[in-house]
Amino acid sequence: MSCQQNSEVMAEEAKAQTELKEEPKEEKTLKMKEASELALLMRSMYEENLEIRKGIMEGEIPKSFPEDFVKIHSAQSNENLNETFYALAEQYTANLEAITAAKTKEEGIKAYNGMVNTCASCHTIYCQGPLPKIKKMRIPAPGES
Amino acid sequence: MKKIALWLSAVLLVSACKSNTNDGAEKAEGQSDSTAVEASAESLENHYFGDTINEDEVVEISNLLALMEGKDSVKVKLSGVVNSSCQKKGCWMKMDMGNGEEMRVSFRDYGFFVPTNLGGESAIVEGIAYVDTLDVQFLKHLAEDAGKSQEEIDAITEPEVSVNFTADGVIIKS
Repeated sequence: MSCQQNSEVMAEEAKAQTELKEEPKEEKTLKMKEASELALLMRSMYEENLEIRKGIMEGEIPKSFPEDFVKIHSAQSNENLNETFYALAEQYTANLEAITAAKTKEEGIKAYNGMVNTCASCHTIYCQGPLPKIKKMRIPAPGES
Repeated sequence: MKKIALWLSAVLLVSACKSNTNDGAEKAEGQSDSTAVEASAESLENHYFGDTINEDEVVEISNLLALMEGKDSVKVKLSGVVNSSCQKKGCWMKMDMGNGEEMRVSFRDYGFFVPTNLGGESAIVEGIAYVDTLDVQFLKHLAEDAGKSQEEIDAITEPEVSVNFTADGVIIKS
């Protein structure tokens, strides 16, 4: 192929390339979903409960729990919640009160793990995504891994 | 615009013919090309979620099943196309495995979420792939998250054995 023929082919290719460049890929705006009031509350409760867990393991039984926790009964959610959720929310606050009423470390651990079980029960029904994270919150019994 | 295109073509032609005999011209042309690539990369940036992973040693998702042969799980970095993501929160996405099946990707410890409009986007995920049985209740929940109709949700009656993935980091390619 002569240089001129080669040049013609390359001219066509260059033209095609230029035309392609004239229509750059339109970048899609990616949409992140804003967290609901309940989701934000749950993240906050997760962090606070890890602190409670740490305290109980060191033998410190909390005298109270953060007031914000009771918002679980009214916080806006992306999920379709029904009476089962609200019953489990009542169970959750009862678990928290049981933690504060504990007299010994063992009672504290039992009450705390009861609360974690309630969280897991609720998430089994409504949103299973955080379950592995919730299960890690348990305080293992002596000899339990 | 076409006139500019033709003029650019002519310039390229001259360079091409010259480059056959001129190493210096070839080098100059190469420099010009790399600048164009850099400019392009700057204008279209990748999106990172979770750990900031890189694109080294990526395996095409269609090779995953071969990698998992005889194993329960495998730590791997995969590239592929996203079919859909959770419409409620962005807490999972599904990637096309290239064989008519989908791989569900969730995110380590529920620690980060992705956009809800990822259908058709190219992605790289790094983490652990494993085979799992998803129960009916969970499958219904996923269908609800995906915005499926009540009829479609009610049609789910059997558990599903499928490939799942827990990602530490995700790149959505521009």
